[in-house]
Amino acid sequence: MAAETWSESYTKLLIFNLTHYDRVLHLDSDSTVLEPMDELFLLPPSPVAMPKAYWFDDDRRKLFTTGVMLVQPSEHEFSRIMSAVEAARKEEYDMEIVNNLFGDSADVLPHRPYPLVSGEFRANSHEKYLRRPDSYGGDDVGEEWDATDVFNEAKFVHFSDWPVAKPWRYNSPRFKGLQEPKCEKMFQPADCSGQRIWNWLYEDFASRRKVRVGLVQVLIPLSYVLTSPVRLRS
Amino acid sequence: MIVLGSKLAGAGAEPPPSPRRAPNLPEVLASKLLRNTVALLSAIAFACYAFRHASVADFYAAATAAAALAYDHALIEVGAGAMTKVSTRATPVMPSFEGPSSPLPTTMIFASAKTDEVREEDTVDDSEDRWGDGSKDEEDAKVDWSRFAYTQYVTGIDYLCNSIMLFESLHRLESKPDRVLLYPSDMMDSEEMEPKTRDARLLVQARDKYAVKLLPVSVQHRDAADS
Repeated sequence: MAAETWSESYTKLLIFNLTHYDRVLHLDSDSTVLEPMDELFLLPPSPVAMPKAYWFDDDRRKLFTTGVMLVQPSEHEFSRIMSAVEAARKEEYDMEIVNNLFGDSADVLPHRPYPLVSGEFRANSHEKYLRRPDSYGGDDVGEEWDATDVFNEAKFVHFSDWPVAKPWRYNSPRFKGLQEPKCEKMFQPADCSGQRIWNWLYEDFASRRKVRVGLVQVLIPLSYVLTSPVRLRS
Repeated sequence: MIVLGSKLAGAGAEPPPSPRRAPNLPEVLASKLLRNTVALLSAIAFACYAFRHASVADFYAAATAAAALAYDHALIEVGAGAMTKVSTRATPVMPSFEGPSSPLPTTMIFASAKTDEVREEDTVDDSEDRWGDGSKDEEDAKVDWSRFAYTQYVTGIDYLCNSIMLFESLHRLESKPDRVLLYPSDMMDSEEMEPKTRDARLLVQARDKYAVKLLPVSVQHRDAADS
């Protein structure tokens, strides 16, 4: 089990070895692409560029996240990474390695609009998201949260929503109803845009993902069909 | 005997319905025993099926669904007891979770019919020379997009499916750079034309439908390096 996590975590770093390309962009796949991000490839040269993990508290939000990683492949950087992997301690994953190696030299991609985390729509406070990277540490946010605006500006949404399972796993409708973002009831009519967007994100992902027809999928509806006349009668 | 007895007991009173007569078919169907037996049997059947054919994750999903089913059933019982005809849930639960992973008849649906049409038009003009003359503004025409690539790495089926969906999105949204998929070399031969396994079929689909370049890699095992 541990070996598998390790190997998966490191495979992401293999893109540093794709020297056939001038620049490559890694995207975490448990996500939805809302718009292409082609313009990132035209940024000024830089060995690595990543957004910061804005959703963390305290100092950890100054760390880079590897969910969106713009890389200029090079043999030199790849050998640095491989030796870091060899020397890595057990608790060190790709994120720690990349931060150790490039924490001072990597360019910062704006976390708006590149990785919007789906859990943002459920958060009580949106300060961390609304802060621009250059105002880390500052108290002034100077902007109101508007779920529709945020969704429209986002190009890439990453599913991270503990305790809600990833969108290809089963969340019972009842559980999702409990967990979905609440409507803003400060003014009338209540603003449910965040809730609608969040639910759309999950439904869109599930509808694009394969729909398997197996015995399990037949039996559950079947048991309903068999018992439904009874339910109507009683 | 009974008829005689009732005649003796009350003059003019309606005889109470006999509790002993054989139940007719609708009553059998309506019986709580049958209802619960069917629900229980189907829950057990698919639990057994999942246990036999599926991975732990699939089994977990099936168990969750079974629990949800049982819970709904209980609610409906309560509703019926309170003489309401409104069922607690208007539509049956149709969970969209993954089924057992291997030897099942499977259907793959990746996108709506609308996007399928777009995709078919797309496959007419091909991926190689598409970016050379297809660009609209001049600035784009100067850029050699083949020097750039979106990359994905996959290790297992869950993430293989996600990665292909991501490439499908980029393809559908007409993104210009290359698309490169790194996959473990033992998953498929890179020149495979007639894929046998499910993983290989997905890889070939990505290559042929969404113009994804496949790149086999040997997966790094930390533990192997240690020993």
